[in-house]
Amino acid sequence: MKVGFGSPMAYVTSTTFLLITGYLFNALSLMIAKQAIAYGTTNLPIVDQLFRPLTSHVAVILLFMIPAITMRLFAEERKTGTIELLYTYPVSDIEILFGKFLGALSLLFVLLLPTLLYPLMVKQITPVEWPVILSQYVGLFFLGTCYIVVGLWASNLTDNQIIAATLTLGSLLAFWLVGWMTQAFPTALWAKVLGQLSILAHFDSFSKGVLNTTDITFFLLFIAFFLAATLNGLNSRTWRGARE
Amino acid sequence: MIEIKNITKEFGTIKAVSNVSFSVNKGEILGFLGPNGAGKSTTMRILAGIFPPTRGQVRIAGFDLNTQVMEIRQRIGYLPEQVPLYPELTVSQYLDFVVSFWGFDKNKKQNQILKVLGQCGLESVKNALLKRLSRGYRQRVGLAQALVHDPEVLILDEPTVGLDPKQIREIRDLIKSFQGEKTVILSTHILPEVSMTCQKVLIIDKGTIVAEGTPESLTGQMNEAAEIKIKVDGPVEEVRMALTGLPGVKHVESIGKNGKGSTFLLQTVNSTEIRPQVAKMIVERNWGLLEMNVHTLSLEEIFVKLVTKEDTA
Repeated sequence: MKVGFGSPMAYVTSTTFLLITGYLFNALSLMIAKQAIAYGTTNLPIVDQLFRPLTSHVAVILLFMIPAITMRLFAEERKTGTIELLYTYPVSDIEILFGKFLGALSLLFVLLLPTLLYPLMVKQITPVEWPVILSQYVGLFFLGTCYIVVGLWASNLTDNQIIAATLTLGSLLAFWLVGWMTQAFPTALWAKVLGQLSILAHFDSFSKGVLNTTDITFFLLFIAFFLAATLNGLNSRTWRGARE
Repeated sequence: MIEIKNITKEFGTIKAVSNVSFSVNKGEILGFLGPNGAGKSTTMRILAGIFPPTRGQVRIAGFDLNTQVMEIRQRIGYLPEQVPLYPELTVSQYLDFVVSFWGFDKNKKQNQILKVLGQCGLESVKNALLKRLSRGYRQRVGLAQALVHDPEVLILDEPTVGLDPKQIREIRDLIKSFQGEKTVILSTHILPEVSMTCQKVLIIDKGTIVAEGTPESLTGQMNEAAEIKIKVDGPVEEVRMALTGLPGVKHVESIGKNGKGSTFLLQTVNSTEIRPQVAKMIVERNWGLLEMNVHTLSLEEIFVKLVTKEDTA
């Protein structure tokens, strides 16, 4: 029942298709380019040279794509008023939130899944370090989930999808770039603290194949925080609706 | 079935609903009237479980809105003023989506959907995309989604707006058929509709209730001061003063002059029969009595009177 109302919003049909194909194309062309370089030298498994950068690129692609998916999740319902009808059904705010969250998650899953083809293809030619690849996928999944929760939160703040998308992107970039301070001021304490907020920094270890508990905790806390914030946004609607 | 006690709803500094109380018995159909911005829709939204009142108690089917809102939502079907729908779904898909919130088993779900498609005249469009539907059909889909889980209580905000006369009649008949088994609150601007379908009427203005009763009692109340419409051929001011001077006349209003005579509206005290006296006086003064008839106020006129006059006697 929870996922039930994640999917009927047929963003699944229209936006998804566009995004998946765009995404695949990107990933594929990148990969081919890398392969050409790799093959130029040896036939040896310098596979990490390929998949690590690929993963980083995917992380960036997702950064732009996910807001496009999440922007309508709440914003459109608020604009059309369908969300009001949801409030008359025997479904709690938490269930509504999780329905949309799970819907977005399954979309993320569907996006990432076909990319498994790449390591599978490469495997035909050279051996592939599966644990590393797996850790990269875990990292990407966490990363994507973080993007999604920020997207949900932003979408719930407005009835304008563009604003939602922009807010999402802006916030994500903020979390992304916050790590640059550590590079500028490597010794300053405040820079280090700020750096801990950086999504990218926490993702880094995953792409190397290391599943770090600190990083996992960070992601989980991040996700929990934004889900809670969104739920709070949903709950505090006693002030809304003064239309007449 | 429905009990509202002293509810107030504030949006910041705006008091949309102020100290409203009323009750509706099981099986009754209540008509909710009021000008736009009166607080009708806000009250209905509170009843539908969308948000709680700032103050006050609401009990529906024995459940308290502030603490047991889910139980209430289980039993309520709501039709909002603008019918928001998901454009990419078909009628059947949409109804399926809505009914799945109630956790019925597959058979019951199917049966309910078919039943409601029939009740609302949607069979011919059941596979049509919602975005392609005309206003009338959208309205009916809205009604269908309110009915699909077979609720005990229906809260309908302007259910017949935008429908053609035939459709209006069908919907009204449908609503009437619920009398006795479902409890219905409907709001409307179409006053004759209220007399036709409702047992009880509530008129709300500026957030408070200004009148309550059966359609008959309301028209009866105001008709205490029954009005006589009279057209006289004579000097306007003189006639007016003469009429005012008659015993039993509370108020005389001049409402126009056309052709030969001027028209006046007389308000009598306690509907005393003064027509013979009026006629006699006019003839004695040698004015021409062109027309005289009793003007009973329709519900619409009562409504307008109630919401425009701040100080009814």
